[in-house]
Amino acid sequence: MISGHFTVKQEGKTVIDCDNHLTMAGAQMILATLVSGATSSVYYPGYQRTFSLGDGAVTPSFDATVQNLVGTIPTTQTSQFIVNGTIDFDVKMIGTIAGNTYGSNPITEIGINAYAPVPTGYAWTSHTSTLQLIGYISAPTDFAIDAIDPTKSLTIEWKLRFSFV
Amino acid sequence: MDNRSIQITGSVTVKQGEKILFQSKPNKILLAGYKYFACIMMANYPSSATYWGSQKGMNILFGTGTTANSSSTTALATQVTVQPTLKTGSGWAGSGNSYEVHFVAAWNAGLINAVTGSTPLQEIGLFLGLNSTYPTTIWTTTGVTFTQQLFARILLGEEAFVPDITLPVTVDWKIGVDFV
Repeated sequence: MISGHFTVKQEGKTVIDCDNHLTMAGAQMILATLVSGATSSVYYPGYQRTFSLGDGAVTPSFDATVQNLVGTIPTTQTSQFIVNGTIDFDVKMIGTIAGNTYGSNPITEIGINAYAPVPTGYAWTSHTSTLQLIGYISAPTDFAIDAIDPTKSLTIEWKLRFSFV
Repeated sequence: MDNRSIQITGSVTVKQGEKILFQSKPNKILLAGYKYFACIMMANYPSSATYWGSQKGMNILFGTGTTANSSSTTALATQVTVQPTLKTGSGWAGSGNSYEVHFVAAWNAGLINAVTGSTPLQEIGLFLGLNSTYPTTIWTTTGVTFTQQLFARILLGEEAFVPDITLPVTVDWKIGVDFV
């Protein structure tokens, strides 16, 4: 089982703490790597990852997109590989953005984007990679519309857990 | 169902000639598989030939053991080292909330029997190229090595069989993801 979780903090206070929704691009990436015949020259999620902030309305779906992008946050060099006991693994990404730099409307969409290969078939060796939305949360489904004060800095942590079931 | 998690699933179909011995029997994805998925999330731009795309290490083998699967399972209980005559597969396919890839192996008639005789085949393993070390941060060429490892295993139980010596054996292993 693979599941993700967002924690959002402002001035040290947790304002959002909820499980995410995952997208088709994430599933596609997982299966594409299994049938990869490449030995080099492949871009994977660690190549580039960003958080996206939006103030639109997204309907949860496996092919959802952020509707009205107002800011992005790079997560460079912040991932960690954490072994929980012996059977669970976490990958964590963290990013921070200053206040008054991501619009003045309430943030209602938060996404995690990563490079993911678009497969070309069995034993593929060449492919295209693009920055794709692989997980997200949105208001009011996952958090209150006024949860985030856009005048304050924002720190987002996204944790993806791989559980042996 | 609101797509909060992805479930990695797998199932196996075995044929002798055109006859289906059993179809879509669920497998067990082993710990090495989950470790691999986490490792790939940490991958940047593998630029060394020591990196294996998983398919580079693909193999399917039978066994005659019956040991139950657990978090420490890394090998077939009693592996039959008869290599497939054919190894192939199919790329990513699916729609909506379900996607899959396939790994296929086939053995010519009598090949397996020549080693196992009348002993029933009790287990099958899917091997792939997987990381054998843990990355500690975003990795490119250092800190992670890849080897051929057991990715999934299936115990045949009531479907254990002795191959018909006159017919080829084909294994179709589906690995899928379902949103849950």
